[in-house]
Amino acid sequence: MLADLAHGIAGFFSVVSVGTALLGLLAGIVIGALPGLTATMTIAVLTPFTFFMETAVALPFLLGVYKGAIYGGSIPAILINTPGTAAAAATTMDGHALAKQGRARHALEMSLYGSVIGDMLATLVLIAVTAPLAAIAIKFSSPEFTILFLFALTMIASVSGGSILKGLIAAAAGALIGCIGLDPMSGYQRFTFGIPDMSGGIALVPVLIGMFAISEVLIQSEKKVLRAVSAVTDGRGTPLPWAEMKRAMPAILRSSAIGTFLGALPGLGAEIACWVAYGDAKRRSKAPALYGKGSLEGVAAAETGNNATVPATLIPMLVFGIPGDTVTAILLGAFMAQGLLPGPLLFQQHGDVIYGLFGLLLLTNLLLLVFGLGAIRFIRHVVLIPHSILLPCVTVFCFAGAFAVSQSLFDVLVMLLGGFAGYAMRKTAVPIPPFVIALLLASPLENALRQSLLFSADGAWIFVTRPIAAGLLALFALSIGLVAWRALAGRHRKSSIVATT
Amino acid sequence: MIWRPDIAVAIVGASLGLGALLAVPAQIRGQGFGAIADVQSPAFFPILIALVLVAVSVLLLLTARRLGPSKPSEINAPAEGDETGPVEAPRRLAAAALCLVAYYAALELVGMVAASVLAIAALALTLGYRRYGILAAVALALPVGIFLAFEKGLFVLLPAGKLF
Amino acid sequence: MLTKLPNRACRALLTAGLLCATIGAASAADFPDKPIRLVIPYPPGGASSLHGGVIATSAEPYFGQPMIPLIRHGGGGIAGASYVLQQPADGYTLLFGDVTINLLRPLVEKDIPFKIDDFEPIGRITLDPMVFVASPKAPFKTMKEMVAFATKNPDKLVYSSDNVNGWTYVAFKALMHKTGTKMRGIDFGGGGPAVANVLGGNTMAYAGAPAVVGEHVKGGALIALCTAGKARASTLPDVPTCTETGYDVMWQVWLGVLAKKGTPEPVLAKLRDGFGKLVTDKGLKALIARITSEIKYVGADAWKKELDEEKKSLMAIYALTQ
Repeated sequence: MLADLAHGIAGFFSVVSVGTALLGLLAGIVIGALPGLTATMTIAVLTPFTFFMETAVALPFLLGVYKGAIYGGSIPAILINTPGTAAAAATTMDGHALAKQGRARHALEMSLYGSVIGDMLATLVLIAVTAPLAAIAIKFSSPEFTILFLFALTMIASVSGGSILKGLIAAAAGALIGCIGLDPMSGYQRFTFGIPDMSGGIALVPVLIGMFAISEVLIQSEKKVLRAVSAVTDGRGTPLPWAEMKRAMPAILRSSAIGTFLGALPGLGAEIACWVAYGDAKRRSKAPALYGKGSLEGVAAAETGNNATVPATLIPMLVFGIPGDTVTAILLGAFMAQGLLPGPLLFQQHGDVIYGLFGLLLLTNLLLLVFGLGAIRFIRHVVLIPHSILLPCVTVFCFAGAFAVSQSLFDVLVMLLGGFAGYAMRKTAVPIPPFVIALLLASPLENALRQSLLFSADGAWIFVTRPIAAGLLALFALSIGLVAWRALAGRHRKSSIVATT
Repeated sequence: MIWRPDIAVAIVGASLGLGALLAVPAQIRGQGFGAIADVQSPAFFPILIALVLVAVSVLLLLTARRLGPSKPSEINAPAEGDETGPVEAPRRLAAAALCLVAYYAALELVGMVAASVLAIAALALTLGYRRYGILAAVALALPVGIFLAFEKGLFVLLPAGKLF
Repeated sequence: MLTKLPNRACRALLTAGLLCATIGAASAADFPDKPIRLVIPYPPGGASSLHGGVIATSAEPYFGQPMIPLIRHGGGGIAGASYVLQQPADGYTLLFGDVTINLLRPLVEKDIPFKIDDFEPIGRITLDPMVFVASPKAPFKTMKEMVAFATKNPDKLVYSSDNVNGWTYVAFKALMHKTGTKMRGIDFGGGGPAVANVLGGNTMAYAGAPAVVGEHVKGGALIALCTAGKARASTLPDVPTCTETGYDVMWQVWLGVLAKKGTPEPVLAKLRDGFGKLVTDKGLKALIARITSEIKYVGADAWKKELDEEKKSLMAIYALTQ
């Protein structure tokens, strides 16, 4: 196998491939960093250009763009509390808090290292155990997905700040808004109130931008005096201390595992993995109180989790020809255009291409590290730009980005309304991430739930009769139990303190 | 003091849920509440979610009330508790909100580029930016740059405006 | 000739008319001057995305512009079809439709937001019989065993379905009707997710296009039971027809390209011409063979006649299987 790997890497190590990978990474980081332009949208827009290229050129480019964008989304998340892509939503939690404390560089570097390590480990898993992992992944069906989605939503509701009840309200509201438009199974219209623009539903990106970025404009405008992001005026900042890296390592390793596994499930993506990793890291952390207030470990967990999903999404595609999302669907198309059909025969007949792909993934991983460090040197000066000029510029990008999704002014209106709603939510300590992720998950969750209930005449019992589902359900119940128990215990303590004073 | 906003949140949540439930017969192809039993119905999921929303909102209402003025004990303290504080500069806030709405309205009238130039200027001034030279430069350069990048670079059309 | 016309006004009008026609023809002559989008209304991994991807890749030489496959799935095909209808009728956004979204659903369901005639057929690309397959983990290995199992265990045989009134849905409805059995179908949205589930052993059976199941049947990951056609499928010659196995189920499905109604005739002519030539492309044929499929092209005029025929026979099948 090592010989194949070496041979494959050699195949992809042409100047052209490396060059396009570099170009892709750069483009990806820039686009991911601009609020309003997401990784998926970028891939969708850039794909037509790749049709002119050969696989050896198109693949490195696409992979570079995707990886770059998933990392790039963390940059505005840290600097201006606005995730560049939905997958960076968890990074805003602690990343921005760190930036406000003058530690933006630490956050940016931790985010980069976490991303690179997660990506590397996931790639190694892809190379070593693709087939067995795929075999497990394919046993996951609607009942398992239903529980995973609910689990993820509950986790997000509990860790994104505010009380878990308010988080659940946000999630339920987001899911409800997600019901507007087409019923994902039959296609019949729901809640469109006769407005043609609503027939396609409420798009995620305008809501994401509105609730994070536009609400930030409003929140900042409340202040008497606006300053730059960082109170500390030393623009250079200090590099991330090795001790912090060591401390965050266990979280990084676990988050890599979580991201790899979730990425291997067709359909589930980076947007969920970052939260599950974050929540898991917080639960096991030695300093959980720091989470939400500037925990580097939290930033590491979130970014490692979401970047680890990227190589992992290739697993079901390569082994079964099942594309999990838009990006892999495009890659699948590119493969097929070259006459390479994924599936069990692919490894046997075209091993060199596969190993070439693996080599490419490792290469882009290294390039991400190099590029990321370069980018950080450049970007960290953004902390010196006063909010009063930075935010208006961001606003213009947001308006452009929201419009660009479907060339629709309605989406800009949605973004604006999202901004006001997000502002109201922030004033009442209702967390925004559960709303946004629930909007994202509404259709998949609905599909999964309804399909699950069709599995047998026993309806909901399917969740216990299927072994994997039952196991997940038990885990889920356990987590909720823990959360509820802690809440009750905490309340007891508080009320007894009140009673004795 | 967080409990009073909690009541507002609970009421908004419950209203949203109830509103959705009431809208079902009109908005979903003549389905009634009985649809909760029929998995194949397009109303199944919305009804379920609306019920969950109402239930959790009621729960919030009850727990917020019962604990009175002291902070309800939470597993996670609010990450950015300082955001829920009183508004320091309400007029500036209102002005910013107005700028945003005006920007949206202007998009259709004068097109992306012109509207953005005005938006950057208006917002920056509202937020207190006083370096007029840099502001003018940015306000003119950025919209043009975005226009070029989007329309020429990514082939994505931006609003053209009736007048411009 | 112009000078013979009664008065100036008529002459002016005629000139204007000719001018417009020329301009119209000229702009049609410019078609296409930007990439054409082929909208695929089902999730990735199914027959639509497989064929659509291959077609789009090979299309450029025949149209002068790249063809971009755009996946817009959801609502059992309605999302994609509606999307095409929301675009201008200029030939730049085409629907890669099928018998479900373009014929069956608008015919039998009441609340579909469009009519069959809202689309203008350009060319039919494939026509395949459905292939019944079983998961290796299923308690049956042949068609007879499957029917026996279903008879003995009503409502216990779980199969992967695509959408209500979709290819797989109708195939199994026909089978259940012919054999008097009751089986449970789970609508996964399309062939892609459906075949993923039967591969994983989550469901016991499935019926799909040869392109979707072919690779897996050849590799042994799925067991082919029978094909619902008049004769054996040339792409899967070792698989008996359902009639041969004792069950007279016939269900052939097509994929075809359609434009929005109202697209100007010169543009339509170019599209028909382009696709007609595209299907003879050697590279395309090789790729199609690779995905266990074959081109069964029928041009617009002949296809329209076939569609009219099919409308009638579909109503008959549908009425039977309710």
